[in-house]
Amino acid sequence: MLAAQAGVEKAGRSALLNEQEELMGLGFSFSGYERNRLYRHRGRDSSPLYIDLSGVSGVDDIGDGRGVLFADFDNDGDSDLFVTNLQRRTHLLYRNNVGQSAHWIRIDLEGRRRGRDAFGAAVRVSSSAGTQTRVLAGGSGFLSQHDPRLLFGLGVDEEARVEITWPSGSVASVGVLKADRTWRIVEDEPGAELLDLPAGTLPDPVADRLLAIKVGDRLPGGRFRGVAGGSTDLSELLPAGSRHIVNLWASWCRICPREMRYLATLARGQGRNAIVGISIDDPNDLDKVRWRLHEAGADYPAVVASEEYIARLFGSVAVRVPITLLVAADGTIAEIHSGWRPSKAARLERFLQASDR
Amino acid sequence: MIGPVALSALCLLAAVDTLPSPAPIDPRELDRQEQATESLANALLDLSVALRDGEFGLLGRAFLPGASVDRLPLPEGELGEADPWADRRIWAGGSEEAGGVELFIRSARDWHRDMGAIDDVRFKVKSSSLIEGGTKLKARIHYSLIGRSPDSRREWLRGWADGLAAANAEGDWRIDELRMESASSLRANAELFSEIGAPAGVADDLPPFRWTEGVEHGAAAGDLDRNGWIDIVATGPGRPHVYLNQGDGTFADKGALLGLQDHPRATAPLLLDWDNDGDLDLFLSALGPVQFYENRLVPEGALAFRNTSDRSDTAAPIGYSAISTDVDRDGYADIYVASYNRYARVFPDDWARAENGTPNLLFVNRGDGTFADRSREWGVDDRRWTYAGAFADLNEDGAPDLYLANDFGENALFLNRGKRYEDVAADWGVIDRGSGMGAAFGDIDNDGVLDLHVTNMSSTAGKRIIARLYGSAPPPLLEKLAAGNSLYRRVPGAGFENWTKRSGGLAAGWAWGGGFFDFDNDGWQDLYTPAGFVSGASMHDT
Repeated sequence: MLAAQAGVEKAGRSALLNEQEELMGLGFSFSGYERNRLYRHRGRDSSPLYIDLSGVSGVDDIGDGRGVLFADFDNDGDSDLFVTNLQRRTHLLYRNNVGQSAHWIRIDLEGRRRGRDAFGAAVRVSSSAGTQTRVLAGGSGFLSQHDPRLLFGLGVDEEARVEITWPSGSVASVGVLKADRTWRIVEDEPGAELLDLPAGTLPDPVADRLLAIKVGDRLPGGRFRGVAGGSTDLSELLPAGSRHIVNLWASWCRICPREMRYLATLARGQGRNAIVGISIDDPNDLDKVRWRLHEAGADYPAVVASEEYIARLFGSVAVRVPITLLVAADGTIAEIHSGWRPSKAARLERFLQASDR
Repeated sequence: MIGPVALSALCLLAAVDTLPSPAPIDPRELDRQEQATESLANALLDLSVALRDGEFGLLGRAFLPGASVDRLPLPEGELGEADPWADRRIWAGGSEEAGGVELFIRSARDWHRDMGAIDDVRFKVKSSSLIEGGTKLKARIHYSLIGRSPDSRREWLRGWADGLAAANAEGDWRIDELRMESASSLRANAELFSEIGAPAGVADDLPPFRWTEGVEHGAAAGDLDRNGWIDIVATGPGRPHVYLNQGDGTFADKGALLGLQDHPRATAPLLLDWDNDGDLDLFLSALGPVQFYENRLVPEGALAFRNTSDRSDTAAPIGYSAISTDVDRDGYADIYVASYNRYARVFPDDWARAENGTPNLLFVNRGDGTFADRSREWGVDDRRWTYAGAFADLNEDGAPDLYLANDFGENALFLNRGKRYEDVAADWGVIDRGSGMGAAFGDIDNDGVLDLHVTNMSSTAGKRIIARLYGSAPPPLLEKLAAGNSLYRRVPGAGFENWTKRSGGLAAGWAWGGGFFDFDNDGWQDLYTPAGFVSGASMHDT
């Protein structure tokens, strides 16, 4: 580099920094207010490989993001996020509302030969999506270290074949393991041990401000348009004296069909109208509603809420679905659940089996 | 006066020997172009904020009197599913009627009437050129709207506009003509994530960042008390936070009760069981002495940390990301520290191949709970400006290899050759020259082989200036400096192949950490990237 050039460069650099500091003092930004990005992988043969979902993800904070932890903080089988920012609100915690609706498997490793952490172990999980690989990393990204228990999504698969390459290079084929469970695998020991993790749930702001009505209230009455035609009154739909599960859903809702498929199974062998679906859709456009019900095999009674009824349920609160209401024999709401996860199934079954005193 | 952005570009040009020179544009001309563009860009940011907040009376300020302006696009119809998680809507742009600023303002009111909520609006100048003897600026403008549709689904509209600007009497550049093209939006069909920091008890507030004092803060996840719940250690301006997961959806910050001292210059926490006793010990990387805290859960039965730093060689002056694996295969986890340098006090000696960073450190675990820096012996006392790294055994020889993301230059891929590391980044195709900030291994094609994600800066202003200097065929090095994140697919026996283009574009702005996770558990690993450099009180960008 020429001396003159170097001189220009040096002067330029200190002028640059002074100017940056001065501008910051005046309140200017430097690549500021940028969104954190979420790119969703679209599957093997898709082109392009990813779609940018940032603006509709809810994890696109604009507070100068630095690091992120991918971790399942409530042990419900999906990755939540903890994000660090440079300034102001420096810690953000994001609850994953959708991951639990698919199957998953979690692998918890304990090393023997290259340290107990087993950092550097590669885990391969084979399912219908192919063979996913993850490395148990002792730190990656920027200033970050993720959940050491490796979580794999399995989509609709209910089991997967698992293979570990331990840091020593030795390969252990563990065989086929069942989904929706956490498996502990120890180096040089055969097989995998089922780990019984405590289960819980992170605060759900959606559920907290879910409805204009709350637990203990009576479900508002009203007349509904039947999906198959005609109209019916709530008191006919939910006769007093027995318990009911009321599923609020919408034809545009992505998770809803998974719960509806389950509810359809549950409805068989239950009393009349044990399960009722109320769709939050345009009552004049029922084709989509019927199609979604058909796809989900939902043959329990289904009606469409009127605009007035939607207003009574949600008030000024934004409409969010799925919401499942457990209605006691006296017509009061016993529980409100938002979202859907397979682990909720047992709760719903118990509710229908129990009787009100 | 030369603007800071133009100045950055000039510094870069002056510093990089390998670039074709001289730059094909007079620096004063570059500055004229950028001054006008920045003036317009900031007027458009004010317009964006006013649009977002529904301050309709302020919208006119972005325009010259008598400007010819299209209305904003309005939703026209559904395009069906764009993704399992989002539908696409088409928004019609342009105007059948010739309109002025009033038409634009009216359509802004329509946006506020038709959307359930508007969270963000951005108009950005992606490219521009002075025309008609420098009296007019022709600008290609990208805009976005983020909010909720009336049924409360998150919606994200993106589109393009062509603008023509001129200076007003005060010398500020304002829009004289604006033509809005049709656009499309994504509309979520589920509430994917909810931010719950405050109700969960992990919220933290820091004062606005100061250039000369600020420190970057990191975090680590692990089950510190072995109760089955994942806890969080996060560094901050004083004592590190230890957010213990209470199992009821909340966290309690117990840093003070667990024996941690104040470490205001701490950057990255790292959790590892360095004595193989079954609990997670804590290493703290810092701009200053690094810290070792031994977890006393085993054998004492209760979580508590004891500072054992004085037993180890901890002379590191600077530490950013810290990563761990058993480098020397003795059965004890070792620690590698990315050292970078004190930016703002020290400047890179070359903006594209800097080698005056502080040497990175390799703390080899002696097996007795003490550590010694062996970076020189292992050949990894690298003096590039390393922000982060990641370990994985890429050639499957049972020895961990090391990838480093370096700012102001080339990244490194160190293969573990037994007692020494060897940089093969060039041969393996992963030099990834640029502003390396973070690295992570994952699987992009589910072929059972680890692939690589590297975060780099992407910059609207940077791309604009590079295009100004070199048109549509900039030198690859310069183009790469503002291009964004990279994705590399591992081909066993043949290094890596670059899949960035196939990814569909990963220009995430000023990108930092992140990497692979499968948020919807569909069996394909998604990518997440925290981004943004420094937000000042004003959105105006330099």
